[in-house]
Amino acid sequence: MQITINGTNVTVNETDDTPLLWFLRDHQGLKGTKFGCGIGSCGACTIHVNGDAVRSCSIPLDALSDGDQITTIEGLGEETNLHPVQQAWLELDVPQCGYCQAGQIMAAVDLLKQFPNPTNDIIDAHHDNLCRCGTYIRIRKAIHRAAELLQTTEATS
Amino acid sequence: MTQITVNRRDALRIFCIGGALVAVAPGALGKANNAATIAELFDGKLGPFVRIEPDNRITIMAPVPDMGTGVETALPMIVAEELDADWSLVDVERMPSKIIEDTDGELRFEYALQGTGGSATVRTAWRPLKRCGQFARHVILLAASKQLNVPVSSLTTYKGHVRVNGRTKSYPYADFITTAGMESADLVKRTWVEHDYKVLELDFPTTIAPDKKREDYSIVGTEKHQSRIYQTLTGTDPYGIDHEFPGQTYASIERCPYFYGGVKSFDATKAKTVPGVLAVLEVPDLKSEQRPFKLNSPGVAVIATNYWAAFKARSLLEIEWDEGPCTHENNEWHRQNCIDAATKGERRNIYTSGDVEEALSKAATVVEAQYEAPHFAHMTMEPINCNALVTGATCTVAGSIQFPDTAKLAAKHITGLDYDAIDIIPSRIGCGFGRKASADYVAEAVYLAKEVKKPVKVIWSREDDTRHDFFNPQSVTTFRGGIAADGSITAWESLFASQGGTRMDGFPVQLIPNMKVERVRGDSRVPLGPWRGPGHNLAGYYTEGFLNELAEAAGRDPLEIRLDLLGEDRSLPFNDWYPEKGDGGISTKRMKDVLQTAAQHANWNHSRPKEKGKGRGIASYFTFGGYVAMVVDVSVANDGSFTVDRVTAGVDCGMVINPLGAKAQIESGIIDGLSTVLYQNVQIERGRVLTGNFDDQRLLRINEAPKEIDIHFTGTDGEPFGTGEIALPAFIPALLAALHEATGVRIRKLPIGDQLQTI
Repeated sequence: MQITINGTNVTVNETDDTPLLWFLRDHQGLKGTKFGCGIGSCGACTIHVNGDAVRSCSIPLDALSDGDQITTIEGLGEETNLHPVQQAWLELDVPQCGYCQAGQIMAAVDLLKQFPNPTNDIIDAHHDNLCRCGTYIRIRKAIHRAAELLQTTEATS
Repeated sequence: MTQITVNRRDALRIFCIGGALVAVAPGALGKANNAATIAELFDGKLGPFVRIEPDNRITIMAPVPDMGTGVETALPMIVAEELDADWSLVDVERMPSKIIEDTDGELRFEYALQGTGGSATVRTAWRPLKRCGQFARHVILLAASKQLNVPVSSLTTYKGHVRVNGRTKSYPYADFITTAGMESADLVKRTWVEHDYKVLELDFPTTIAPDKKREDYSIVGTEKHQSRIYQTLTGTDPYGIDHEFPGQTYASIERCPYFYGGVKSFDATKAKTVPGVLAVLEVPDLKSEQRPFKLNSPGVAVIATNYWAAFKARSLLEIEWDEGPCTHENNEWHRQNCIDAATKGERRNIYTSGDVEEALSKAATVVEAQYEAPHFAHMTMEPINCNALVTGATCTVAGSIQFPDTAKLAAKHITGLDYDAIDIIPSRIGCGFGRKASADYVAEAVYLAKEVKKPVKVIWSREDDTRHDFFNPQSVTTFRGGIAADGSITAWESLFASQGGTRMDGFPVQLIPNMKVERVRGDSRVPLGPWRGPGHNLAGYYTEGFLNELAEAAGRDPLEIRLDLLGEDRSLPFNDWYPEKGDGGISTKRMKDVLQTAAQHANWNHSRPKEKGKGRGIASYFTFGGYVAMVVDVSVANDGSFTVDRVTAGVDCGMVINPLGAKAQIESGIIDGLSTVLYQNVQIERGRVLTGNFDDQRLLRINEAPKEIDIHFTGTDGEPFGTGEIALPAFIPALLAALHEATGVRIRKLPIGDQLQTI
């Protein structure tokens, strides 16, 4: 099976029940995606498959299809060229321990795709990633800021 | 001068000779030391923390890894301030663990405390790091003075540059770094200093410029983004779980679920059929006569070429457990055990004044209450893990570790190697809350790595993490209070019953004329450990909760009664620990200040008309040197669900190094407090923990977070204290008071559960 990970073609030989999370971490060396619960509850392992946020700890490799496009935090933006959601996270100084933040960011990117200008109620209803440091107040603000940045980006592109 | 090559380790040993005070002064230690330059002593750096790069960027080492506490920003800010650096040109590097044996064979941090806990990190690092910044600046000035042939007194510094006689021409610090091997080591004095821990401090001759004046600060006290935020946001800052050795293997361990149980026998035949499995072996109870307390939970480990194979194979193990001595223990047994201990156990006095019985007998109103709390789990965002490599001669440990010295001790215990042969590699830590202060997970990994002679990374599942936690103690506290006809509190009696300890030395101790504060130990055997604000987390809930009950019974404003109790401005003695306490006590003024600040910003008015379903509460508490008051506003729906509309906090943590980071700590404590009272409730049955993952132990999500948090710092003049643990103990009672006002329900038992469903 051929898939792409962050734009690079990857052949998957392991067509077994290995969760995508561990395939990315142990087999592809992409450590930015984090293990938190293993049951799809906390969202620390959130990545995009074909643009949709999924919890990679609960996606076995054999559930993937040929041609699937996977994006992890490493493929979202770079230090010198942050994605608008990362930029908003920077401006609001969101992280504390930071362990859940790759997942928070990947989830927020998808949320903003569905709701380009979300209210706090929409954020509360749809953003369900756990943060044990309790960065939620800043996450709310950063999602609003990211919405602004994304609209500016679209307006200028 | 005779040139003798002195390597760094020799030099350090020389420094350690003699114990209490070791000075490397001209002639004091012979010619060898005259040959040791600063560059040699500090790997080319200006002291342990500062490296000036050729392009005049400055690298500052962060001695303590960040676990969500902001210390990889706050501590380098302290160095940068005294160094007079340009913060925008500072890069922060995580400092390797620098731990040496002192003259008594005890492990000590070489330059600064590198462990993190007790809200002590900023507090403890403050003075040594200031001096290290001063030292680096001083060396630059001496070198500049020689190179420019002008006296030091004519030199000033500004944002990483040296100026002569205030002239506009400025020289980058980097211009002077290569000069003549810098200055010789005779600048340096190193002293064993007793902080709360014995620390080998750098000390300098008096010729170094005095501390910068507060009004000249341009970095400390200003809002700075986290120093490594780009790495965090792009997923490139390595956590313990991300560390890899060449030839890495992975382990998953099925640990005995029963407290103090073990492995009777096991069959690994099926587990070994899983592709990738390399070995299956028993992890014994690793404690010993030298370390007689619980170290780890014994079990059976599967080691494989990848984590998933190890985890999957582990589920195929067939194990017969020794169920241990605690199968009679369960939640109800624990509760009853505390209640029994309260009546039969041996009481230990914490504080006594006056005559409580007499005061109660004369009181116009007597209030009695029983409060309780269950065990809390840590559930750090990054599950427990540890990576270890043991060769014949060395041991290397990488992991998310709060105390590298404790880890080193455990590694020595397992391997028998000398301390010098053991290296602890620090990493970013995905939450600690005290859990990563234990060394159980280090001992396991080192043991397995030693046995299989390969690098082994043990990754705990979330269920492993929860079930083999060291919990916050379950407890029951009973109170009696007496109120006089004039509404003053005349008597206070509290009895804390628990397997674990508490910290009940804070206010209102010393403020009520007749007091008896006692504790008694239960005899359950649940593994316990530090959990965010150990002792204080429950003491705040209990004492401030009961104080609010007394205020209500007395018909008084809970703010006014607190200000009244605190009385005139004074410092009272404080019997309990806080970091770098010295001669410090506990101040009524500072507590009044945070109360009044919170009240003012929340427009506190106790006699305002009450709105249906709305409530407001107040509490204040002193934790590890920090004074916090909170006003909490809630809206409660008919079904008992509630929203925290606003939290207003007054905080005195002394000087605030980084207001952005300090606010984050306070917000974090508030949200963890809310999460805890709503949900924390570890289920124990037959001497084992049933609670496993976030599905059966819910923790707070964004939709339940407070709508608004408003934080005000009041203590800008004092020395800095920590902020990580100080918010939670004040928040919980303020929240419960607000819920009480909204519903009439007094929460005396955690978690809140369905207690607010009054219909």
